[in-house]
Amino acid sequence: MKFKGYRRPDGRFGVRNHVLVLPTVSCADKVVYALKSALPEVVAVPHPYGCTFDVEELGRFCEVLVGFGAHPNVRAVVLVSLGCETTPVQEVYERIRASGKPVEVVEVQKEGGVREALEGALKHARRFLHEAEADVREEAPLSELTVALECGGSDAYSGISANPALGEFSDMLVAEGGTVILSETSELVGAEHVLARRATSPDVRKALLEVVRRAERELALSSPDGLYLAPGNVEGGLTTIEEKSLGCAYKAGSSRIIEVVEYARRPSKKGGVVVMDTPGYDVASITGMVAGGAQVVAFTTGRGTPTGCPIAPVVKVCSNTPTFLRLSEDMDVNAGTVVDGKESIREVGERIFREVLRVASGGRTKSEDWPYQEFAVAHTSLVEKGVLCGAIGA
Amino acid sequence: MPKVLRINPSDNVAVALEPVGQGEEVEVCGLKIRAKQAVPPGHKLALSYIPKGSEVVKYGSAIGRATRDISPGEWVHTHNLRGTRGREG
Repeated sequence: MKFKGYRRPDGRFGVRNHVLVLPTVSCADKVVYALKSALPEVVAVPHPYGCTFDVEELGRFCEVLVGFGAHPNVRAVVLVSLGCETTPVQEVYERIRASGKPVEVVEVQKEGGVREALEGALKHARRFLHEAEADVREEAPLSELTVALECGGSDAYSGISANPALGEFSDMLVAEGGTVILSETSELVGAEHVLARRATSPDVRKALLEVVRRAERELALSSPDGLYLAPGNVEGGLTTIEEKSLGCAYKAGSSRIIEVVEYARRPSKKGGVVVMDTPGYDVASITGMVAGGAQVVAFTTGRGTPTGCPIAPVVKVCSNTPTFLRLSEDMDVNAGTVVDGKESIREVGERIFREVLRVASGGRTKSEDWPYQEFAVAHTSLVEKGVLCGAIGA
Repeated sequence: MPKVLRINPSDNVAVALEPVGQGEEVEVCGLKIRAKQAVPPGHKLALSYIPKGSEVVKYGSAIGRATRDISPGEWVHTHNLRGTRGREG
């Protein structure tokens, strides 16, 4: 089976052909906002990051910048710099450039102000858009497709309909050589024993248990109520983190777990389930998985959520028919038919598979129609930074 | 799907897919259970007696422990079930 994508110089395939305008620090956001209003065809990602002396936070932000810039859904990049930020702009530029795609940097202080920087950035962006007009899609095998799995606004139906159906999809994609990324480590707490059995090696198993242990310590340190659920989760019938996790883990089906990667890092293996260590915050989790190279996001929800991504299409799978109908402009696939007794989990999984292939070949999602373009970089955890137990709430 | 669903054969709770009224008798895998309280859709109903401190099982795995004795037909939620994970310092 194949999809139709854009072949990139590094051999990867994009499902979109974006010209991306990315500030390297929030101080340059004004140029990016102005550029987007002058040239709506570009994808602009203004954000609040880019100047910090926290080396862990800065390193993570740079991984996301490089991951987005080098991403196969992106054809060309304009980086907009202020000039004095801590972001190592030259290094970011070179790492994106190494993927073989066109990149330009415009620096506000060097250009002589926002107006001049805007003119320079517009010139590059117009050229990139013009060059993109000649591009055509070509057939790509499904081994070239990586799909990020996400769930948010979960309810008790998520673990019965949408997540198991997405799990069927995951198994189908993996059977075709494709890759899925499972994330939100704090929502694997209580389900890791089930997942660890599917690790392809003792090292993968060890890495999986280690990231879950770290997430569990982080929860214990920073959430004094000990519930670890959003109010909407509890209202929807979820009582404990273990319960939520077991339902969440269904998204990855029953396929082998081939690798565990840190936030926003690109997996080195294909053809299985990759676990990425991300927080349980949907926007930051999606940003990390897409920075890691996922071209499409498949997102299950029970309560309904509009979250999107600037550079990757997001396919929303809803766990129940009432929410699907109520949020019809934001939902793509109804898995509530399982609860209604109208379709099997397998049938909904096949429907998700067809929808993802349609989207990978250029079909639009509801999140793109608006568009929804949320972007957030995960904070590094206190446990990773070595903050000792007892430092909080003591 | 049935009105109340037991996901895994080893589960001692089932999920209400539709609202269950107080005193209503529901059938779960051939077992007749009378609901002790109203159970909102998406919420859980005890299928057997779960003594205080023992495991509540859903999806075939422990999802926490009963914080008081739970009798069959009781609504199971934050008032009588607590997770055990994320408790270590």
